[in-house]
Amino acid sequence: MDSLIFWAPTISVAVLASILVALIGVLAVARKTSYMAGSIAHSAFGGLGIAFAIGISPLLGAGIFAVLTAILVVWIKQKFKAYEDILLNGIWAFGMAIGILALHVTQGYVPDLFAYLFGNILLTDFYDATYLSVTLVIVSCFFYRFYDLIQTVSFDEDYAKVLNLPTLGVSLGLMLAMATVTVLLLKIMGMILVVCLIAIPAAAALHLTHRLGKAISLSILFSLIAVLGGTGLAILLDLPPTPLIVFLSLIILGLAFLIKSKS
Amino acid sequence: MVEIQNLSFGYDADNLVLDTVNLQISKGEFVALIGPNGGGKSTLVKLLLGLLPLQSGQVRLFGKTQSEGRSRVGYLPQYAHLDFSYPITVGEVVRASLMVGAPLRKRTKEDTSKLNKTLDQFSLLEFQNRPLSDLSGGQRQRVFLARAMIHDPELLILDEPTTALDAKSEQGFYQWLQSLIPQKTIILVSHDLSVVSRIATKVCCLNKVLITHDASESFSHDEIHNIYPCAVEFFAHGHPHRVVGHHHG
Repeated sequence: MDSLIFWAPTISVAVLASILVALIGVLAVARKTSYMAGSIAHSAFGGLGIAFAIGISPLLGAGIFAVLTAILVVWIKQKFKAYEDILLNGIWAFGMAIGILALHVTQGYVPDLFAYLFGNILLTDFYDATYLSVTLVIVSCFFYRFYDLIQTVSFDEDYAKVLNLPTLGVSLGLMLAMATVTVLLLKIMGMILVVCLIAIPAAAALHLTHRLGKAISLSILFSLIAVLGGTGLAILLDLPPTPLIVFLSLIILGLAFLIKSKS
Repeated sequence: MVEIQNLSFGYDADNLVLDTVNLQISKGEFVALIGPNGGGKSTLVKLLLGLLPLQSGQVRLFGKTQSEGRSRVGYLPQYAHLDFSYPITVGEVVRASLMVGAPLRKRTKEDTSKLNKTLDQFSLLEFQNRPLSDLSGGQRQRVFLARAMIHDPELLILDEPTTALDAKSEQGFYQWLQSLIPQKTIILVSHDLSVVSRIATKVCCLNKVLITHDASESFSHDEIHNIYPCAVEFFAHGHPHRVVGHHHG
């Protein structure tokens, strides 16, 4: 009983995070925008650095940078589509450069940045579970309310424009949802794991089905297997959980390709 | 209904795709837009719908700007650019057009009955909950036609609508199109010169410049040779019937 109480925050965070990354990830992979999670996560690092340098909440600093990046990414996609990949790589590198510079000039205690790069799901508490629950409710309501709009704009943006649908608003909404989830998971899971979990379980799920609901369910399942399995293995083998979660995610992706190629 | 005046457009400054195009389309007309690959047909359609920015000239749809008028248009695009692995069902694709004019309103019972009726009309009812990726090319074409028709548009713009259809379906499709005239106005972009020149009321040949004739008139040999940089056989009412050999715009 005691051990269940001890692991309860980790298990609840794993479940909530898996549902969140599945919701965001399946749409991002289907829209071919999952790589933008990388740009947002790395630019958030710049916000973290500045937050430490000027002494404000790291989450606030990362959040502001992530939101600005999300807006910038949507603008680049609209106006400079031909240079999109180059500009997104530029944002990625710029965020990291700002973060490193800001941390270099930070006076006094410099926090362990490894925590934000690689995270540690074993160090979560019920406070993390609470704000992830609130985020999940908001993101789910957004998807439920604007489901038809999101589907139409994501599938055929030109046609959505002919119908005078708010294509820019939908793209921005999706990107801001991705930015919010990325930043909130940054402290718990770290940059690398967030990027991995947004893209890989969703890619495995979409490789097996083209039904959105089924893909989201499968993606949640795959994330859970990777996160809980990786965390369990980490405890057993006394290793950091993040690399094991990444390896398990990649094994699941490989299996999905294998299953599809056999069927 | 459609007014295009002195429209010129180029994807880069030195190379015009459309040069001083003028076109007027009245209610109930069936306009065939033909011409060689790269001649600017799809570009003209995109400009008409406001999907490309105007560079020079003027376009009016129903007497309004493109963004104001295009909600009364049923559009069937060339869908080569679409990703059919995207997880969307047939029903979701078709009912998209019902959001026109009120994108944030909730779905009603009337929407559902309209969707079922349209899916039934295009023999798609049994596919309603199937992912689009499960369907054949011809079935997908019916899905996009249903999407273009469900909101009862006054003007239909169909860009190469028969590319995925077999000969029998194509014949049925053209018969169905003719049955829509004069209630609807139609702009049909096609390579199928012989058929469109038989069923259209106005034929427009486009290769950077646009030459327009009523169906009762004929294109001269000079006009055709200026438009098509390759041999063309003449058959149907003096309209270009068949492109002989390859051509590149």
